[in-house]
Amino acid sequence: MSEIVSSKNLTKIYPGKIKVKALDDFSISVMPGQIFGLLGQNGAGKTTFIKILLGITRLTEGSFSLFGSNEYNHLLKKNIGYLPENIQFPEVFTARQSLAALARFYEMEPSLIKKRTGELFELLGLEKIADRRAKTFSKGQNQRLGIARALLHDPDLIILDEPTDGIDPVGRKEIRTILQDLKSKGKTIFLNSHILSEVEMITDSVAILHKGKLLRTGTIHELTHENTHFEIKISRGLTLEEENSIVYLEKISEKLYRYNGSEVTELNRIIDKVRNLEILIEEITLRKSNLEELFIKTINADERVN
Amino acid sequence: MKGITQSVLFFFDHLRRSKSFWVTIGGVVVMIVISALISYSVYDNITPGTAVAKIQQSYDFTLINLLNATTQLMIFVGLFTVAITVNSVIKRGVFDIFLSFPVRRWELLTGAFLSGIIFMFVVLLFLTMGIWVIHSSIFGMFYGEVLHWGLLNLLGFVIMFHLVIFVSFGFRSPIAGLLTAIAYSVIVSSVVFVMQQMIQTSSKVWLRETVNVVYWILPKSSEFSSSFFMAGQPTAEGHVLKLIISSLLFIFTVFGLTIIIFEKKDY
Repeated sequence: MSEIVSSKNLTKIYPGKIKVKALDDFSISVMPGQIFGLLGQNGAGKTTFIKILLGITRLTEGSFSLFGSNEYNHLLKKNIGYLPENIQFPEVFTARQSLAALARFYEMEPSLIKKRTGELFELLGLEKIADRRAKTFSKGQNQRLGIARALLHDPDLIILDEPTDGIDPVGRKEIRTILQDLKSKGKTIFLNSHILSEVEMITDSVAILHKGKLLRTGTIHELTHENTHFEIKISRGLTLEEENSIVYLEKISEKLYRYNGSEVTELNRIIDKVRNLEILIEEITLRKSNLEELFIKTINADERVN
Repeated sequence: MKGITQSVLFFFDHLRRSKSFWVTIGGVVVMIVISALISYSVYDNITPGTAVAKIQQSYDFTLINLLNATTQLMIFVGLFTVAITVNSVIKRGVFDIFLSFPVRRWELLTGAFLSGIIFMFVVLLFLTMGIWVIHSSIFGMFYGEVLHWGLLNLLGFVIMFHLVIFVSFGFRSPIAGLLTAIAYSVIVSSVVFVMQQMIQTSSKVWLRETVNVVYWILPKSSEFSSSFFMAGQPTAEGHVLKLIISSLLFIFTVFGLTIIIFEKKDY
Protein backbone atom coordinates (compact mmCIF):
# COMPACT_ATOMS: atom_id res chain seq x y z
CA MET A 1 0.00 0.00 0.00
CA SER A 2 1.51 3.35 -0.99
CA GLU A 3 1.51 6.42 1.21
CA ILE A 4 -1.32 8.89 0.85
CA VAL A 5 0.89 11.76 2.00
CA SER A 6 4.65 11.76 2.04
CA SER A 7 7.43 14.28 2.08
CA LYS A 8 11.11 13.83 1.41
CA ASN A 9 13.73 16.26 2.69
CA LEU A 10 11.24 19.05 2.42
CA THR A 11 12.59 22.50 3.22
CA LYS A 12 10.76 25.79 3.23
CA ILE A 13 12.51 29.10 3.67
CA TYR A 14 10.39 32.22 3.76
CA PRO A 15 12.30 34.96 1.97
CA GLY A 16 12.72 38.43 3.38
CA LYS A 17 15.25 40.56 5.18
CA ILE A 18 15.40 37.89 7.85
CA LYS A 19 14.97 34.52 6.18
CA VAL A 20 12.86 32.10 8.17
CA LYS A 21 13.40 28.37 7.82
CA ALA A 22 9.91 27.08 8.50
CA LEU A 23 10.69 23.47 7.54
CA ASP A 24 14.09 21.85 7.53
CA ASP A 25 14.71 18.55 5.75
CA PHE A 26 11.30 17.30 6.79
CA SER A 27 10.34 13.74 5.81
CA ILE A 28 7.23 11.87 6.87
CA SER A 29 4.79 9.38 5.43
CA VAL A 30 1.13 8.83 6.16
CA MET A 31 -0.53 5.57 5.20
CA PRO A 32 -4.14 5.35 3.97
CA GLY A 33 -6.75 4.89 6.69
CA GLN A 34 -4.55 6.36 9.40
CA ILE A 35 -5.18 9.23 11.76
CA PHE A 36 -1.87 11.03 11.71
CA GLY A 37 -1.00 13.80 14.14
CA LEU A 38 1.58 16.46 13.45
CA LEU A 39 2.58 17.94 16.76
CA GLY A 40 4.51 21.04 17.51
CA GLN A 41 4.51 24.33 19.30
CA ASN A 42 3.17 27.47 17.65
CA GLY A 43 5.49 28.40 14.81
CA ALA A 44 6.96 24.90 14.55
CA GLY A 45 6.06 24.67 10.86
CA LYS A 46 2.91 22.51 11.06
CA THR A 47 0.66 24.87 9.10
CA THR A 48 3.42 25.55 6.57
CA PHE A 49 3.59 21.84 5.80
CA ILE A 50 -0.17 21.64 5.24
CA LYS A 51 -0.08 24.73 3.05
CA ILE A 52 2.67 23.20 0.94
CA LEU A 53 0.58 20.05 0.45
CA LEU A 54 -2.33 22.19 -0.72
CA GLY A 55 -0.27 24.44 -2.98
CA ILE A 56 -1.02 27.52 -0.85
CA THR A 57 2.69 27.91 -0.11
CA ARG A 58 5.54 26.78 -2.37
CA LEU A 59 8.35 24.56 -1.14
CA THR A 60 11.99 25.65 -1.35
CA GLU A 61 13.67 22.25 -1.59
CA GLY A 62 12.76 18.57 -1.44
CA SER A 63 9.59 16.92 -2.62
CA PHE A 64 6.24 15.64 -1.50
CA SER A 65 3.58 13.36 -2.87
CA LEU A 66 -0.17 13.18 -2.52
CA PHE A 67 -2.14 10.00 -3.28
CA GLY A 68 1.11 8.54 -4.63
CA SER A 69 1.59 11.30 -7.18
CA ASN A 70 4.82 13.29 -7.11
CA GLU A 71 3.52 15.76 -9.65
CA TYR A 72 1.53 18.59 -8.10
CA ASN A 73 -1.88 18.77 -9.72
CA HIS A 74 -4.65 21.05 -8.52
CA LEU A 75 -7.22 18.35 -9.32
CA LEU A 76 -5.80 16.17 -6.54
CA LYS A 77 -7.38 18.66 -4.16
CA LYS A 78 -10.81 17.39 -5.22
CA ASN A 79 -10.17 14.51 -2.87
CA ILE A 80 -8.95 16.60 0.05
CA GLY A 81 -11.06 18.24 2.73
CA TYR A 82 -9.29 21.07 4.52
CA LEU A 83 -10.03 22.93 7.69
CA PRO A 84 -7.67 25.89 8.01
CA GLU A 85 -6.61 27.34 11.34
CA ASN A 86 -8.89 30.24 12.38
CA ILE A 87 -11.35 29.54 9.59
CA GLN A 88 -13.81 32.24 8.59
CA PHE A 89 -16.64 32.26 6.10
CA PRO A 90 -17.73 35.02 3.72
CA GLU A 91 -19.92 37.30 5.81
CA VAL A 92 -22.84 37.56 3.41
CA PHE A 93 -23.78 33.89 3.57
CA THR A 94 -25.71 31.88 6.13
CA ALA A 95 -24.07 28.61 7.19
CA ARG A 96 -26.20 26.66 4.69
CA GLN A 97 -25.55 29.12 1.85
CA SER A 98 -21.82 29.08 2.61
CA LEU A 99 -21.57 25.35 2.15
CA ALA A 100 -23.69 25.44 -1.01
CA ALA A 101 -21.62 28.26 -2.51
CA LEU A 102 -18.28 26.65 -1.69
CA ALA A 103 -19.44 23.18 -2.84
CA ARG A 104 -19.67 24.61 -6.36
CA PHE A 105 -15.91 24.23 -6.68
CA TYR A 106 -16.25 20.46 -6.21
CA GLU A 107 -18.82 20.08 -8.98
CA MET A 108 -21.45 18.72 -6.63
CA GLU A 109 -25.05 18.41 -7.78
CA PRO A 110 -27.48 20.71 -5.90
CA SER A 111 -29.46 17.70 -4.62
CA LEU A 112 -26.28 16.11 -3.26
CA ILE A 113 -25.21 19.39 -1.65
CA LYS A 114 -28.60 19.61 0.07
CA LYS A 115 -28.39 16.02 1.28
CA ARG A 116 -24.79 16.24 2.53
CA THR A 117 -25.38 19.64 4.16
CA GLY A 118 -28.37 18.26 6.07
CA GLU A 119 -26.43 15.18 7.21
CA LEU A 120 -23.39 17.18 8.32
CA PHE A 121 -25.40 19.83 10.14
CA GLU A 122 -27.12 17.08 12.09
CA LEU A 123 -23.85 15.31 12.80
CA LEU A 124 -22.16 18.48 14.01
CA GLY A 125 -25.15 19.88 15.86
CA LEU A 126 -25.62 22.87 13.58
CA GLU A 127 -29.22 22.28 12.37
CA LYS A 128 -30.71 24.99 14.57
CA ILE A 129 -28.32 27.68 13.42
CA ALA A 130 -27.94 26.57 9.81
CA ASP A 131 -29.86 29.58 8.51
CA ARG A 132 -27.99 32.13 10.55
CA ARG A 133 -25.12 34.12 9.07
CA ALA A 134 -21.80 32.51 9.89
CA LYS A 135 -20.41 35.86 11.05
CA THR A 136 -22.72 35.64 14.10
CA PHE A 137 -21.28 32.24 15.10
CA SER A 138 -19.14 31.62 18.15
CA LYS A 139 -15.63 30.28 17.58
CA GLY A 140 -16.77 26.75 18.36
CA GLN A 141 -19.74 26.95 15.98
CA ASN A 142 -17.50 28.39 13.29
CA GLN A 143 -15.06 25.55 13.80
CA ARG A 144 -17.86 22.98 13.48
CA LEU A 145 -19.02 24.64 10.28
CA GLY A 146 -15.43 24.46 9.05
CA ILE A 147 -15.35 20.74 9.74
CA ALA A 148 -18.66 20.35 7.89
CA ARG A 149 -17.14 22.16 4.92
CA ALA A 150 -14.08 19.95 4.97
CA LEU A 151 -16.27 16.83 4.90
CA LEU A 152 -18.90 18.11 2.46
CA HIS A 153 -17.52 16.51 -0.70
CA ASP A 154 -16.71 13.26 1.11
CA PRO A 155 -12.95 13.41 0.53
CA ASP A 156 -10.54 10.53 1.16
CA LEU A 157 -7.96 12.73 2.83
CA ILE A 158 -9.07 15.15 5.52
CA ILE A 159 -6.57 17.75 6.69
CA LEU A 160 -7.54 19.49 9.88
CA ASP A 161 -5.50 22.33 11.34
CA GLU A 162 -6.32 22.65 15.04
CA PRO A 163 -9.84 21.20 14.66
CA THR A 164 -10.88 21.46 18.29
CA ASP A 165 -9.65 24.99 18.84
CA GLY A 166 -12.37 26.91 20.67
CA ILE A 167 -14.60 23.88 21.12
CA ASP A 168 -15.87 22.88 24.58
CA PRO A 169 -15.02 19.44 26.10
CA VAL A 170 -18.37 17.89 25.07
CA GLY A 171 -17.91 19.15 21.53
CA ARG A 172 -14.35 17.83 21.48
CA LYS A 173 -15.55 14.38 22.42
CA GLU A 174 -18.15 14.53 19.63
CA ILE A 175 -15.48 15.53 17.13
CA ARG A 176 -13.23 12.68 18.28
CA THR A 177 -16.10 10.29 17.68
CA ILE A 178 -16.67 11.75 14.21
CA LEU A 179 -12.99 11.39 13.34
CA GLN A 180 -12.90 7.80 14.55
CA ASP A 181 -16.02 7.08 12.56
CA LEU A 182 -14.39 8.55 9.45
CA LYS A 183 -11.34 6.40 10.06
CA SER A 184 -13.54 3.31 10.25
CA LYS A 185 -14.86 4.27 6.80
CA GLY A 186 -11.31 4.16 5.46
CA LYS A 187 -10.67 7.91 5.40
CA THR A 188 -7.21 9.25 6.17
CA ILE A 189 -7.03 12.09 8.63
CA PHE A 190 -4.09 14.42 8.96
CA LEU A 191 -4.29 16.40 12.14
CA ASN A 192 -2.31 19.42 13.30
CA SER A 193 -2.72 20.03 16.96
CA HIS A 194 -1.12 21.09 20.15
CA ILE A 195 -3.80 19.54 22.35
CA LEU A 196 -1.69 16.45 22.99
CA SER A 197 -4.09 14.55 25.26
CA GLU A 198 -6.60 14.57 22.45
CA VAL A 199 -4.13 13.56 19.79
CA GLU A 200 -3.03 10.66 21.95
CA MET A 201 -6.62 9.44 22.18
CA ILE A 202 -7.30 9.26 18.48
CA THR A 203 -4.15 9.15 16.39
CA ASP A 204 -2.35 6.08 15.11
CA SER A 205 0.93 7.80 14.36
CA VAL A 206 2.45 11.12 15.22
CA ALA A 207 5.40 13.25 14.24
CA ILE A 208 6.94 15.83 16.54
CA LEU A 209 8.07 18.95 14.79
CA HIS A 210 10.20 21.61 16.44
CA LYS A 211 11.48 24.74 14.74
CA GLY A 212 10.88 23.10 11.37
CA LYS A 213 12.78 19.93 12.21
CA LEU A 214 11.31 16.50 12.64
CA LEU A 215 12.39 15.25 16.05
CA ARG A 216 10.41 12.03 16.46
CA THR A 217 7.94 9.98 14.49
CA GLY A 218 6.21 6.70 15.12
CA THR A 219 3.02 5.11 16.35
CA ILE A 220 1.59 6.28 19.67
CA HIS A 221 2.32 2.81 21.08
CA GLU A 222 5.96 2.88 20.00
CA LEU A 223 6.59 6.32 21.36
CA THR A 224 4.78 6.11 24.66
CA HIS A 225 6.01 2.61 25.49
CA GLU A 226 9.65 3.61 25.25
CA ASN A 227 9.71 4.75 28.84
CA THR A 228 7.26 2.27 30.31
CA HIS A 229 8.46 0.82 33.61
CA PHE A 230 7.17 -0.67 36.84
CA GLU A 231 7.89 0.76 40.26
CA ILE A 232 8.02 -1.77 43.06
CA LYS A 233 7.72 -0.72 46.68
CA ILE A 234 9.01 -3.28 49.15
CA SER A 235 8.97 -3.62 52.95
CA ARG A 236 12.75 -3.29 53.40
CA GLY A 237 15.80 -2.24 51.42
CA LEU A 238 17.82 -4.88 49.59
CA THR A 239 21.39 -5.66 50.42
CA LEU A 240 24.00 -5.25 47.67
CA GLU A 241 24.17 -9.01 47.25
CA GLU A 242 20.39 -9.28 46.98
CA GLU A 243 20.31 -6.46 44.52
CA ASN A 244 22.89 -8.12 42.31
CA SER A 245 20.93 -11.36 42.34
CA ILE A 246 17.88 -9.74 40.83
CA VAL A 247 18.70 -8.64 37.31
CA TYR A 248 16.82 -5.69 35.71
CA LEU A 249 15.92 -4.20 39.08
CA GLU A 250 17.19 -0.66 39.60
CA LYS A 251 17.20 1.14 42.90
CA ILE A 252 15.32 4.43 43.08
CA SER A 253 15.35 4.96 46.85
CA GLU A 254 15.66 2.92 50.04
CA LYS A 255 12.52 0.80 49.53
CA LEU A 256 11.59 1.75 46.00
CA TYR A 257 12.86 -0.13 42.96
CA ARG A 258 12.28 0.13 39.27
CA TYR A 259 11.98 -2.47 36.54
CA ASN A 260 12.66 -0.79 33.17
CA GLY A 261 10.43 -2.82 30.93
CA SER A 262 6.88 -3.75 30.13
CA GLU A 263 7.33 -7.55 30.01
CA VAL A 264 4.88 -9.08 32.47
CA THR A 265 6.73 -12.45 32.50
CA GLU A 266 9.94 -10.77 33.58
CA LEU A 267 8.06 -8.74 36.17
CA ASN A 268 6.66 -11.94 37.67
CA ARG A 269 10.14 -13.45 37.77
CA ILE A 270 11.34 -10.41 39.74
CA ILE A 271 8.36 -10.67 42.11
CA ASP A 272 9.17 -14.35 42.71
CA LYS A 273 12.78 -13.55 43.53
CA VAL A 274 11.79 -10.75 45.91
CA ARG A 275 9.22 -13.02 47.59
CA ASN A 276 11.83 -15.79 47.92
CA LEU A 277 13.85 -13.35 50.00
CA GLU A 278 10.77 -13.13 52.24
CA ILE A 279 10.34 -9.46 51.48
CA LEU A 280 6.84 -8.05 51.37
CA ILE A 281 5.79 -6.30 48.19
CA GLU A 282 3.74 -3.29 49.23
CA GLU A 283 2.90 -1.78 45.88
CA ILE A 284 3.53 -2.26 42.16
CA THR A 285 2.80 0.69 39.86
CA LEU A 286 2.92 0.76 36.08
CA ARG A 287 4.55 4.03 35.01
CA LYS A 288 3.82 4.90 31.42
CA SER A 289 4.84 8.18 29.84
CA ASN A 290 2.05 9.94 27.99
CA LEU A 291 2.38 11.87 24.75
CA GLU A 292 2.59 15.18 26.55
CA GLU A 293 5.55 14.04 28.68
CA LEU A 294 7.24 12.60 25.64
CA PHE A 295 6.62 15.79 23.67
CA ILE A 296 8.02 18.08 26.35
CA LYS A 297 10.98 15.78 26.94
CA THR A 298 11.75 15.67 23.21
CA ILE A 299 11.44 19.42 22.77
CA ASN A 300 13.56 20.14 25.85
CA ALA A 301 16.24 17.70 24.74
CA ASP A 302 16.40 19.44 21.36
CA GLU A 303 16.58 22.85 23.01
CA ARG A 304 19.51 21.69 25.14
CA VAL A 305 21.39 20.30 22.13
CA ASN A 306 20.88 23.43 20.05
CA MET B 1 -12.43 26.96 -18.10
CA LYS B 2 -14.55 25.07 -15.59
CA GLY B 3 -12.64 26.78 -12.81
CA ILE B 4 -13.41 30.21 -14.25
CA THR B 5 -17.12 29.41 -14.49
CA GLN B 6 -17.17 28.12 -10.90
CA SER B 7 -15.35 31.22 -9.75
CA VAL B 8 -17.66 33.58 -11.66
CA LEU B 9 -20.74 31.82 -10.24
CA PHE B 10 -19.36 32.01 -6.72
CA PHE B 11 -18.58 35.71 -6.95
CA PHE B 12 -22.02 36.40 -8.40
CA ASP B 13 -23.63 34.46 -5.60
CA HIS B 14 -21.61 36.51 -3.14
CA LEU B 15 -22.42 39.78 -4.90
CA ARG B 16 -26.17 39.23 -4.99
CA ARG B 17 -26.30 38.47 -1.28
CA SER B 18 -24.36 41.54 -0.21
CA LYS B 19 -25.96 44.73 1.04
CA SER B 20 -23.91 46.78 -1.40
CA PHE B 21 -25.55 44.88 -4.27
CA TRP B 22 -28.93 46.21 -3.19
CA VAL B 23 -27.42 49.66 -2.74
CA THR B 24 -26.27 49.45 -6.38
CA ILE B 25 -29.68 48.25 -7.59
CA GLY B 26 -31.36 50.95 -5.49
CA GLY B 27 -28.89 53.45 -6.98
CA VAL B 28 -29.91 52.46 -10.51
CA VAL B 29 -33.59 52.89 -9.68
CA VAL B 30 -32.98 56.25 -7.99
CA MET B 31 -30.89 57.44 -10.95
CA ILE B 32 -33.64 56.45 -13.37
CA VAL B 33 -36.30 58.20 -11.27
CA ILE B 34 -34.21 61.38 -10.94
CA SER B 35 -33.46 61.29 -14.66
CA ALA B 36 -37.16 60.91 -15.38
CA LEU B 37 -37.95 63.95 -13.24
CA ILE B 38 -35.25 66.00 -14.97
CA SER B 39 -36.39 64.85 -18.42
CA TYR B 40 -39.97 65.73 -17.57
CA SER B 41 -38.95 69.11 -16.21
CA VAL B 42 -36.89 69.90 -19.33
CA TYR B 43 -39.70 68.79 -21.64
CA ASP B 44 -42.25 70.72 -19.63
CA ASN B 45 -40.26 73.91 -20.12
CA ILE B 46 -40.30 73.65 -23.89
CA THR B 47 -42.73 76.25 -25.14
CA PRO B 48 -45.45 75.02 -27.46
CA GLY B 49 -44.70 75.56 -31.12
CA THR B 50 -40.93 75.04 -30.78
CA ALA B 51 -39.38 73.54 -33.89
CA VAL B 52 -38.77 69.79 -33.88
CA ALA B 53 -35.06 70.33 -34.54
CA LYS B 54 -34.80 72.44 -31.39
CA ILE B 55 -36.70 69.84 -29.36
CA GLN B 56 -34.35 67.16 -30.67
CA GLN B 57 -31.37 69.28 -29.66
CA SER B 58 -32.78 69.58 -26.17
CA TYR B 59 -33.48 65.82 -26.18
CA ASP B 60 -29.86 65.04 -27.12
CA PHE B 61 -28.30 67.51 -24.72
CA THR B 62 -30.34 66.33 -21.74
CA LEU B 63 -29.84 62.62 -22.53
CA ILE B 64 -26.06 63.00 -22.90
CA ASN B 65 -25.71 64.81 -19.60
CA LEU B 66 -28.05 62.47 -17.77
CA LEU B 67 -26.27 59.35 -19.04
CA ASN B 68 -22.85 60.78 -18.38
CA ALA B 69 -23.54 61.90 -14.82
CA THR B 70 -25.45 58.79 -13.76
CA THR B 71 -23.08 56.23 -15.30
CA GLN B 72 -20.06 57.91 -13.72
CA LEU B 73 -21.71 57.88 -10.32
CA MET B 74 -22.83 54.27 -10.68
CA ILE B 75 -19.35 53.21 -11.74
CA PHE B 76 -18.01 54.35 -8.38
CA VAL B 77 -20.90 52.70 -6.51
CA GLY B 78 -20.32 49.48 -8.50
CA LEU B 79 -16.59 49.66 -7.85
CA PHE B 80 -17.24 49.79 -4.10
CA THR B 81 -19.61 46.83 -4.37
CA VAL B 82 -17.15 44.57 -6.19
CA ALA B 83 -14.23 45.74 -4.02
CA ILE B 84 -16.22 44.77 -0.90
CA THR B 85 -16.78 41.31 -2.39
CA VAL B 86 -13.08 40.91 -3.18
CA ASN B 87 -12.24 42.06 0.35
CA SER B 88 -14.60 39.51 1.87
CA VAL B 89 -12.90 36.70 -0.02
CA ILE B 90 -9.26 37.56 0.46
CA LYS B 91 -9.38 38.18 4.18
CA ARG B 92 -7.50 35.83 6.48
CA GLY B 93 -9.31 32.59 7.21
CA VAL B 94 -11.46 32.76 4.06
CA PHE B 95 -8.67 32.99 1.52
CA ASP B 96 -7.08 29.72 2.68
CA ILE B 97 -10.31 27.91 1.82
CA PHE B 98 -10.26 29.39 -1.66
CA LEU B 99 -6.68 28.45 -2.30
CA SER B 100 -7.44 24.86 -1.25
CA PHE B 101 -10.06 24.44 -3.98
CA PRO B 102 -9.28 22.17 -6.93
CA VAL B 103 -9.06 25.24 -9.15
CA ARG B 104 -6.00 26.97 -10.58
CA ARG B 105 -5.17 30.29 -9.02
CA TRP B 106 -5.41 32.21 -12.27
CA GLU B 107 -8.90 30.78 -12.79
CA LEU B 108 -10.00 32.12 -9.40
CA LEU B 109 -8.56 35.50 -10.24
CA THR B 110 -10.05 35.63 -13.72
CA GLY B 111 -13.42 34.58 -12.30
CA ALA B 112 -13.33 37.44 -9.81
CA PHE B 113 -12.39 39.92 -12.55
CA LEU B 114 -15.00 38.71 -15.04
CA SER B 115 -17.81 38.62 -12.49
CA GLY B 116 -17.16 42.27 -11.63
CA ILE B 117 -17.14 43.27 -15.29
CA ILE B 118 -20.32 41.32 -16.10
CA PHE B 119 -22.03 42.77 -13.03
CA MET B 120 -21.12 46.32 -14.03
CA PHE B 121 -22.11 45.69 -17.65
CA VAL B 122 -25.59 44.62 -16.52
CA VAL B 123 -25.84 47.61 -14.17
CA LEU B 124 -24.82 50.06 -16.92
CA LEU B 125 -27.09 48.37 -19.45
CA PHE B 126 -30.13 48.68 -17.19
CA LEU B 127 -29.23 52.23 -16.23
CA THR B 128 -28.62 53.39 -19.80
CA MET B 129 -31.65 51.64 -21.24
CA GLY B 130 -33.87 52.72 -18.37
CA ILE B 131 -32.92 56.38 -18.70
CA TRP B 132 -33.13 56.28 -22.50
CA VAL B 133 -36.56 54.60 -22.61
CA ILE B 134 -38.09 56.98 -20.05
CA HIS B 135 -36.42 60.08 -21.49
CA SER B 136 -37.44 59.14 -25.03
CA SER B 137 -40.98 58.33 -23.92
CA ILE B 138 -41.31 61.75 -22.30
CA PHE B 139 -39.99 63.52 -25.41
CA GLY B 140 -41.89 61.21 -27.75
CA MET B 141 -38.80 60.56 -29.87
CA PHE B 142 -36.44 57.61 -29.84
CA TYR B 143 -32.88 58.24 -31.00
CA GLY B 144 -30.27 55.77 -29.86
CA GLU B 145 -27.06 57.11 -31.44
CA VAL B 146 -25.42 58.00 -28.13
CA LEU B 147 -26.27 54.81 -26.27
CA HIS B 148 -23.13 52.84 -27.19
CA TRP B 149 -21.01 55.74 -25.93
CA GLY B 150 -22.67 55.28 -22.57
CA LEU B 151 -21.31 51.76 -22.48
CA LEU B 152 -17.78 53.05 -23.09
CA ASN B 153 -17.97 53.95 -19.42
CA LEU B 154 -17.71 50.21 -18.80
CA LEU B 155 -14.13 50.40 -20.03
CA GLY B 156 -13.52 53.19 -17.50
CA PHE B 157 -14.82 50.80 -14.82
CA VAL B 158 -12.64 47.92 -16.07
CA ILE B 159 -9.57 50.16 -15.85
CA MET B 160 -10.33 50.98 -12.22
CA PHE B 161 -11.42 47.44 -11.31
CA HIS B 162 -8.28 45.83 -12.70
CA LEU B 163 -6.25 48.09 -10.41
CA VAL B 164 -8.40 46.94 -7.47
CA ILE B 165 -7.76 43.30 -8.47
CA PHE B 166 -4.02 43.94 -8.91
CA VAL B 167 -3.49 45.48 -5.49
CA SER B 168 -6.00 43.22 -3.72
CA PHE B 169 -4.73 39.87 -4.96
CA GLY B 170 -1.12 40.84 -5.46
CA PHE B 171 -0.64 42.56 -2.12
CA ARG B 172 -3.75 41.51 -0.19
CA SER B 173 -4.99 45.01 0.39
CA PRO B 174 -8.40 45.73 -1.17
CA ILE B 175 -8.71 49.13 0.50
CA ALA B 176 -5.38 50.20 -0.98
CA GLY B 177 -6.63 48.80 -4.31
CA LEU B 178 -9.79 50.85 -4.15
CA LEU B 179 -7.88 54.02 -3.25
CA THR B 180 -5.35 53.39 -6.04
CA ALA B 181 -8.14 52.92 -8.58
CA ILE B 182 -9.97 56.06 -7.53
CA ALA B 183 -6.77 58.09 -7.32
CA TYR B 184 -5.75 56.88 -10.75
CA SER B 185 -9.05 57.69 -12.35
CA VAL B 186 -9.69 61.00 -10.64
CA ILE B 187 -6.14 62.37 -10.54
CA VAL B 188 -3.58 60.60 -12.77
CA SER B 189 -5.78 59.90 -15.77
CA SER B 190 -7.37 63.36 -15.72
CA VAL B 191 -4.04 65.16 -15.30
CA VAL B 192 -2.42 63.19 -18.13
CA PHE B 193 -5.43 63.84 -20.38
CA VAL B 194 -5.44 67.59 -19.69
CA MET B 195 -1.64 67.80 -20.03
CA GLN B 196 -1.75 65.97 -23.33
CA GLN B 197 -4.29 68.46 -24.64
CA MET B 198 -2.34 71.45 -23.35
CA ILE B 199 1.18 70.64 -24.52
CA GLN B 200 0.29 69.89 -28.13
CA THR B 201 1.23 73.45 -29.02
CA SER B 202 4.32 73.50 -26.82
CA SER B 203 7.65 74.29 -28.45
CA LYS B 204 9.45 71.84 -26.15
CA VAL B 205 9.60 68.69 -28.21
CA TRP B 206 10.91 66.51 -25.36
CA LEU B 207 8.00 67.53 -23.13
CA ARG B 208 5.47 66.93 -25.86
CA GLU B 209 6.92 63.52 -26.68
CA THR B 210 7.20 62.47 -23.03
CA VAL B 211 3.61 63.40 -22.24
CA ASN B 212 2.41 61.75 -25.44
CA VAL B 213 4.22 58.50 -24.60
CA VAL B 214 2.82 58.49 -21.07
CA TYR B 215 -0.62 59.34 -22.42
CA TRP B 216 -0.62 56.47 -24.90
CA ILE B 217 0.71 53.96 -22.38
CA LEU B 218 -1.71 54.70 -19.56
CA PRO B 219 -5.38 53.70 -19.82
CA LYS B 220 -7.88 56.48 -20.36
CA SER B 221 -10.46 56.09 -17.64
CA SER B 222 -11.25 59.79 -17.38
CA GLU B 223 -11.60 60.16 -21.14
CA PHE B 224 -14.00 57.24 -21.43
CA SER B 225 -16.20 58.76 -18.80
CA SER B 226 -16.25 62.25 -20.29
CA SER B 227 -19.21 63.48 -22.27
CA PHE B 228 -16.86 64.39 -25.12
CA PHE B 229 -17.62 61.35 -27.25
CA MET B 230 -21.29 61.25 -26.49
CA ALA B 231 -21.72 64.81 -27.56
CA GLY B 232 -20.44 63.78 -30.97
CA GLN B 233 -17.40 66.09 -30.87
CA PRO B 234 -15.10 65.59 -33.83
CA THR B 235 -12.02 63.43 -33.16
CA ALA B 236 -9.04 62.46 -35.28
CA GLU B 237 -9.59 59.40 -37.43
CA GLY B 238 -9.09 56.20 -35.45
CA HIS B 239 -8.60 58.15 -32.20
CA VAL B 240 -11.26 56.23 -30.25
CA LEU B 241 -9.99 52.90 -31.51
CA LYS B 242 -6.46 53.86 -30.47
CA LEU B 243 -7.75 54.85 -27.05
CA ILE B 244 -9.51 51.52 -26.62
CA ILE B 245 -6.59 49.43 -27.86
CA SER B 246 -3.98 51.24 -25.74
CA SER B 247 -6.18 50.92 -22.66
CA LEU B 248 -6.81 47.22 -23.30
CA LEU B 249 -3.08 46.62 -23.76
CA PHE B 250 -2.40 48.21 -20.40
CA ILE B 251 -5.16 46.20 -18.73
CA PHE B 252 -3.87 42.91 -20.20
CA THR B 253 -0.32 43.74 -19.11
CA VAL B 254 -1.30 44.59 -15.54
CA PHE B 255 -3.71 41.66 -15.30
CA GLY B 256 -1.00 39.33 -16.62
CA LEU B 257 1.35 40.71 -13.98
CA THR B 258 -1.33 40.16 -11.33
CA ILE B 259 -1.61 36.51 -12.40
CA ILE B 260 2.18 36.05 -12.25
CA ILE B 261 2.39 37.59 -8.76
CA PHE B 262 -0.67 35.68 -7.53
CA GLU B 263 0.57 32.36 -8.92
CA LYS B 264 3.98 32.68 -7.27
CA LYS B 265 3.03 34.20 -3.97
CA ASP B 266 2.99 32.26 -0.68
CA TYR B 267 -0.10 32.76 1.44
